[in-house]
Amino acid sequence: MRAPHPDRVDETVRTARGGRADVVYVLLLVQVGAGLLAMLGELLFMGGNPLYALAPVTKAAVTLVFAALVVRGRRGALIAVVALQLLTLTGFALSVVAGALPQLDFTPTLTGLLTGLVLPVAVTVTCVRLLIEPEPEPAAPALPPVGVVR
Amino acid sequence: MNAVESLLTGIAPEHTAALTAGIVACLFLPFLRGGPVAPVSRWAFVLLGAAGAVHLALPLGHRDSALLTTGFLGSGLVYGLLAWLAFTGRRGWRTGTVLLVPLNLLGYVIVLLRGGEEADQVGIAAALVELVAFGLAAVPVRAPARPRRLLRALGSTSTVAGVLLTGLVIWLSTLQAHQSAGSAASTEQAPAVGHSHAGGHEHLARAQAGVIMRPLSGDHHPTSAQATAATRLASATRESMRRFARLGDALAAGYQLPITGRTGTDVHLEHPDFKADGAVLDPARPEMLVFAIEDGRASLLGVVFVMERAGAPGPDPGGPVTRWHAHNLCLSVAPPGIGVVTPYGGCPALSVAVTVPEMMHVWTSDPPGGAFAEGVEQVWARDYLHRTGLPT
Repeated sequence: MRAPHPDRVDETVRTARGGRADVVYVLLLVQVGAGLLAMLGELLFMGGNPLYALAPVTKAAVTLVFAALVVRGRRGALIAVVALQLLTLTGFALSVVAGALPQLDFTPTLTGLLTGLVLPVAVTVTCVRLLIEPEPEPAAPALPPVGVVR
Repeated sequence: MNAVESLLTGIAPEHTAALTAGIVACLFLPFLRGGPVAPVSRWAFVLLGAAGAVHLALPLGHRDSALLTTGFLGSGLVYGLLAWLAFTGRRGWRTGTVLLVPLNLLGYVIVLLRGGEEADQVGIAAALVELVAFGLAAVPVRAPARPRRLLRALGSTSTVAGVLLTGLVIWLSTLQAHQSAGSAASTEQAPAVGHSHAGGHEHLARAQAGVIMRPLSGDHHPTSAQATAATRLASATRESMRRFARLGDALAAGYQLPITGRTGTDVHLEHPDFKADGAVLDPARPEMLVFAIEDGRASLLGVVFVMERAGAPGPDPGGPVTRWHAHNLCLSVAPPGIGVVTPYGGCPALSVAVTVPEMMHVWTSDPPGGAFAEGVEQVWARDYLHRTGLPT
């Protein structure tokens, strides 16, 4: 029996212990939690009108679906997650632009920078790296040899 | 305030050492040689290491009880141990993290809810870092050989719930502090707002959970001239607002009810013309009126003076007594609406975060916190409405 290539072993070990896709999955979970919290803030302000839950809940559901697909190694999901992150980054940029208006201002905060800039950039960079260098699919469970009774 | 000043406003000076330690850890730890190969362990190592650095450095700024100091040091050391376990690829960091993070966050929110401290940006950011580490530990790595679907679902749900609940409690505690900040306010002392530790220190500035307040430049206690000016402003406003005792008179004068929330104990009526008339802090032309309106009765509680330009500081004739604040809001487009920026600094999908011009309440109804309290308690406002309300 031929020994596996050393690089292949490394890749397998990495995946077995948690690859980049698993990190993206957790970062997306954090984004979902933060997004749902923001939804509550708007619902409170807008008298509980369920219309204001539509976009945040949709985004949360879509993010969760894509997060699950990312850990399955789907390239389309990676592209979709990058698109979602670009949407978040566009929102951050628009906030900065809106702050130039006389009636409005932009207030940078440490947490705002973390969730509005650092987190989406980290997710985007990791997804792009996964697109360039995909992680191998973890090994499937070994099937028992034919004829073996368990 | 410029961008850097705004950024620093929400950071308690007592937490500067902790923030520096956390940033140094985030810059240094990812490049440490000989670390784990697996990205999940590497991320966990950096995040747990940063959390440990923050906790170990917290006592440098705080002058807290021996118990709290021991708690900071103890949790810092355990975070460091967990980071080391993740770094060396040993077992145990996942279980340890899943146990320690909820305990630590529980302790934090208990301190917040008991009023021992008001959340600042460093505290919230550290909580966020710990929650990401929790997620990395709680969600098992996906492997077809061992699907562990239930554990993955449980880990995922608890991560989302952890972020949501922690943010919610921080939010409630901050808004509660904003509402009740006026309890100690009078013309003799500044409202007790900002990051504070009971019996300890306070820097009287904040920038989280939708409330932004400039740092106080001078003493917390006003000079006699400032106290006199504050009293004069309150008296002039009270006198001038007698003409709006009836809601109908305010509406006839051009004040408009909001689109939503037309009843309640803090209904804000805006005057579009007064918002752009060039007058600042004019007791005869306040930009907003605050009414309590319920059960067909209305009572004027006070006014809100609003600056015309966002970012422009409001005049403070009463020094520390006449403090202005701004709100960090979320403007959504689909559907059009307003929300409040969360403690994590975020807004819902399809919305942008903006800061509105500075504003200052002057209460004409003589609430417990005085004329310059930041807010009026709902129970008191309702009682006031029952005692003095006029038919709408």
